[in-house]
Amino acid sequence: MKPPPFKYVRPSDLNEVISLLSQHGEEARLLAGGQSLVPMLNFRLLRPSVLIDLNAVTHMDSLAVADGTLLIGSMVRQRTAERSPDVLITAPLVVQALRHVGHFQIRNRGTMGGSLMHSAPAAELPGVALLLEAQMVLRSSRGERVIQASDFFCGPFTTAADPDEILTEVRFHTPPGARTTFLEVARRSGDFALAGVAALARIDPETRVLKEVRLAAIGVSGGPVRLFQAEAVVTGRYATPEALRESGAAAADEVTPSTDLHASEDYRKRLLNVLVARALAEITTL
Amino acid sequence: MTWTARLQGEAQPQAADEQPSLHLGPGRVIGRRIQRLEDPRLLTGQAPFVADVNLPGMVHAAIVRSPAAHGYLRTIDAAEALGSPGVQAVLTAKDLDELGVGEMPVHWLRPGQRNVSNPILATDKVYYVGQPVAVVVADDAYAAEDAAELVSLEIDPLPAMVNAEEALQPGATILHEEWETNLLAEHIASGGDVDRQFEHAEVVIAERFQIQRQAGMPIETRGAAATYDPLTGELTLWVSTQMPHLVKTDICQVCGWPGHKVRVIAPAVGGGFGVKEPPYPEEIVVCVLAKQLARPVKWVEDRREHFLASVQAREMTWDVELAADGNGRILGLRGRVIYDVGGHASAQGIGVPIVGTGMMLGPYDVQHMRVHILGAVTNKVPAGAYRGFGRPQATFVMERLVDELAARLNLDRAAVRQRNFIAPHAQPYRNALGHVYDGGDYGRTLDRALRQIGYDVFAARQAEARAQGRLLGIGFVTFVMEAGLGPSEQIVRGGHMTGTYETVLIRMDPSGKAVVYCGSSSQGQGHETTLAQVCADRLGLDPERDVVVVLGDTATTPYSPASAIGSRVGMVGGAATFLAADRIREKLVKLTAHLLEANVGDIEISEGLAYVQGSKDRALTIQEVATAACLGSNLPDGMLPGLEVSETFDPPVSTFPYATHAATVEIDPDTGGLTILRYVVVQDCGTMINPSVVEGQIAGGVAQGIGGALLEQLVYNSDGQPLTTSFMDYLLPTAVEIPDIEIVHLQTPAPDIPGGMKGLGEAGTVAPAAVLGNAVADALAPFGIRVTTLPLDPDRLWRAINRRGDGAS
Ligand SMILES: Cc1cc2nc3c(=O)[nH]c(=O)nc-3n(C[C@H](O)[C@H](O)[C@H](O)COP(=O)(O)OP(=O)(O)OC[C@H]3O[C@@H](n4cnc5c(N)ncnc54)[C@H](O)[C@@H]3O)c2cc1C
Repeated sequence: MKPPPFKYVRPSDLNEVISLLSQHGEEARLLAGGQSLVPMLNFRLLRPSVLIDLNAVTHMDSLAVADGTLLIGSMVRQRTAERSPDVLITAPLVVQALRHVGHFQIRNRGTMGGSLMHSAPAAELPGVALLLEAQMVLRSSRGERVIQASDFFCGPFTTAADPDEILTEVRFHTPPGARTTFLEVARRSGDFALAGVAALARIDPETRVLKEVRLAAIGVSGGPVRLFQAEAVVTGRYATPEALRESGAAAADEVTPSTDLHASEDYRKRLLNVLVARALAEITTL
Repeated sequence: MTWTARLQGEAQPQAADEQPSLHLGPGRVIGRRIQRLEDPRLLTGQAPFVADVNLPGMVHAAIVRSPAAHGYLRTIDAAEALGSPGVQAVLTAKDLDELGVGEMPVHWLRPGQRNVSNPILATDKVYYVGQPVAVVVADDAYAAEDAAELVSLEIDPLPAMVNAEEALQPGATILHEEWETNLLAEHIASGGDVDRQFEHAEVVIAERFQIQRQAGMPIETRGAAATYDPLTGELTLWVSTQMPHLVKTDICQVCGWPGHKVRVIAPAVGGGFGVKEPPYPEEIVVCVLAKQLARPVKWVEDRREHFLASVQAREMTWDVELAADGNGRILGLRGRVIYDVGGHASAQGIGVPIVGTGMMLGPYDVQHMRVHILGAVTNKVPAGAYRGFGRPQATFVMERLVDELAARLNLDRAAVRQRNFIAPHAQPYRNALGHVYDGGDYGRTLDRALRQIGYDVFAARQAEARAQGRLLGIGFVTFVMEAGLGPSEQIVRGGHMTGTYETVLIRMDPSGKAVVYCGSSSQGQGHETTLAQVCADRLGLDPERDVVVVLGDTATTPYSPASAIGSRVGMVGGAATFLAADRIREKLVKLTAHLLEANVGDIEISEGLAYVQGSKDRALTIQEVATAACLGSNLPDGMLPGLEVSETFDPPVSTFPYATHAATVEIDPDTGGLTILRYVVVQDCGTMINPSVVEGQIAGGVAQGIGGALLEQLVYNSDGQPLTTSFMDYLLPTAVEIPDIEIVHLQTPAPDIPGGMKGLGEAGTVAPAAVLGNAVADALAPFGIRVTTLPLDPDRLWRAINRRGDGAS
């Protein structure tokens, strides 16, 4: 469990990072919090020839709110985001989800961008990004582009970013009046979820009908997935126990999880079913 | 959340802060809650572990391990590795052979056992993924690992046997072809006439139980560092082991080196749990290389290797039947257990199921049993010791059977147990297999535990919860374990080729302070504290200020064949310390009487003083007496100068500590998620040297037991590839998963052990799987589920709930 040899660079400027990336392409890896990358190096699952450490790069950890949208630098530590009042106000779902990410020691080092780029199938933040229809800001020597979260996650450990691109910022927006929650089941506290649900709902204050419902699941597919069927089943209805149960059942029907060491396919479906109903119950009861 | 061990006060040891600082003397230091003497060093990072041993010119070893579970090893090509930067050497079995290095001995032998030693590095065949094949030595650990990747192995694969039961079927692929079977060894644990009991039994409960593969998983992995001095021919090895003296014995035997030129040191060791009980091939290899290269060599196991090459444990399949009469009186137990040995015998052979089965009838007065133990080799990591050593499995099996018996007869589970317990007045009790218990009141621990957890009101709570769709359950288990391994003669007769005695040397110099030398090592249990307390107690000294305990260095400590295994250091090492300190005390008393011109019978020793009873003005300090003894000029007739005593204690008997564990659980019917609501332990381990240490041992053991019951499982696929090779996949419990553990102490001193200690280290692990199995079965009783398979993970529980009674969960 010692990494194979690599060259290590520690630039302080984003432009330098971009030029290093264009020079080395797939041979290079960016080092953010190292909580996923370092184990992968030690297991020799990755063999980059150059490691570009982002920890000394300035201006990558800013956190700002503009027009109700949270703009979060990719090097913001997960723990910082979790404890930020700005995040809690503009995108409470980020805080709700981060509490499930590993242990606080991991979150002290782990970054927002690292988690989104690593894109583990059961990672919480990709589910949050998908649900909030986040915008992912990428930079390379070709310039800047913004990708919608729905186009960004392409399966286990895969994103739409090119090897020479760096994620600089993520923009989260919560629709006004929406309530959110994040629920998951893991074998132990801090483990990757066997199944998890990010949920958002807006209730019409007049009619009490569910106006907008968004659901995203983690751990039940190669990456985060929106549960469109489950959303459709309850949208426009009252949040009755029956409606919520139907939504849960629809969610279980629209995913095909895999069986692994920790849970079988049908157990994961079962969890998703229960979690969807529970999550909706939580945000629709006052 | 944190666990707290709460003392319930039955045994009334004082709380630390209530104790006067000077209250020293016989009976006053044993039983005290002093803080652990080793902790400041351990907690501030000052204690040296093997990884901290760095010597000038040191080189580092990386092990090339078999990637295949089973196959013929055709060639090893190390040419490329040898050309890799920084590489000093590559070692294979052929080199070891040329150097005259032999095989690793198996220490536990049964008649007819098919292997008695194992190659250090694979020769012509590999038997499991992870088996050591070659060793690369380089200037640093990185270069060594880079080069290890370049060693290419040509292996002709063979089908893998991953199931011990299938391995014993006709037509199975044979691992060790010369054996013509996969049966390593067998043993029949038998007493009485069990078949007759079954003939007239009114009830027979027959069940199949499966216990998964687990391992001890110390947080510090294994490691070894050796240095050789060509001028003196002396070799020193630092090794993360439970048994430094046995490691030395094996090195000398395997390498043909003389004992006086080999020194083995177990420095600070971060957990052992049985994993570090056997000597390992890597430890020998490091020594051989240090001598060959004339440079210090270090190897520190990484966690992945730990999953591939350190002993694993616990995997057994039981087919058993329990016979009883219509009142729930148990008549006999019979059946068969198949033990998954792994690729070849570990040092412990099939000792684990033998020990487990030996005390399977536990607290019950049943004189008839027969269990056929079969140890089968499979293409998995060799299996050996893990804290509990077979007892957690046997207890799970027996206690699940007892609960099923009660359910079948519609009797109260506690009443069935009480009906079958050995009565206190029937002690000393000889069990069906001939073990003679040394006393115990099992009914009392059960009553006390049930009172603590509120058994009388639980049924009402449970019914109320069920009415709301909630699933609550309660489980409880009383067990007796044999501790301390018994007399040397007995264990050697049983095939375990080490003695069980302990020798303790105590030295006092003119300062009047004592140094205790003991050959056992410590892996965190607190031996330094407890042995210091025993010594201080006898000598009227302060354990913190006046005593130092030296452990685990073969150059300075007396030979210790069994060391830190079998729950024996507090008991056997404690007894040896007790005896040695008493002999020092005797000499101090005699000398004091001489110096004060008083009668020997009138001299007392306490509070650092030796004085004439009733007249404390006629007193000498221990330091003054010690100075006189060491000066040697004014001694009574016949007394030799000096204050140095060595005592060997070979336990005349085993001890039989016992306990009741009880737990309540809640299961989420929608997800199968299990929460432990309360966990209670009522333990009698004889004399407690230090209740805080006792509680730490119980809490740690219970935590490991809970891990084994709910979370931990080593998984192999059908090709014999291990799928659990990191802590992402092998789930140890964390503080969050462990509930508060409420501990009640009972204290019945062991009658045959100086000091009265009964042994405790493993006790905590014995019951949790059985307790939780019973609690789950109780919670799921409405679904008619039989709990027979571990671990009790949520997927399994949910499945059981939803397929109502279609077999075992
Ligand atoms: C014990 C443990 C438990 C964990 N549990 C969870 C959990 O429950 N849920 C969860 O979601 N995660 C979990 N993690 C992972 C953790 O959240 C990681 O921090 C995160 O996945 C990666 O973030 P990082 O900053 O450490 O990135 P790194 O490990 O440094 O990098 C990860 C990957 O992202 C790339 N990368 C990083 N930053 C950028 C960037 N700005 N632009 C482009 N590429 C970039 C890197 O090159 C690398 O490929 C756990 C980790 C550990 C060790």
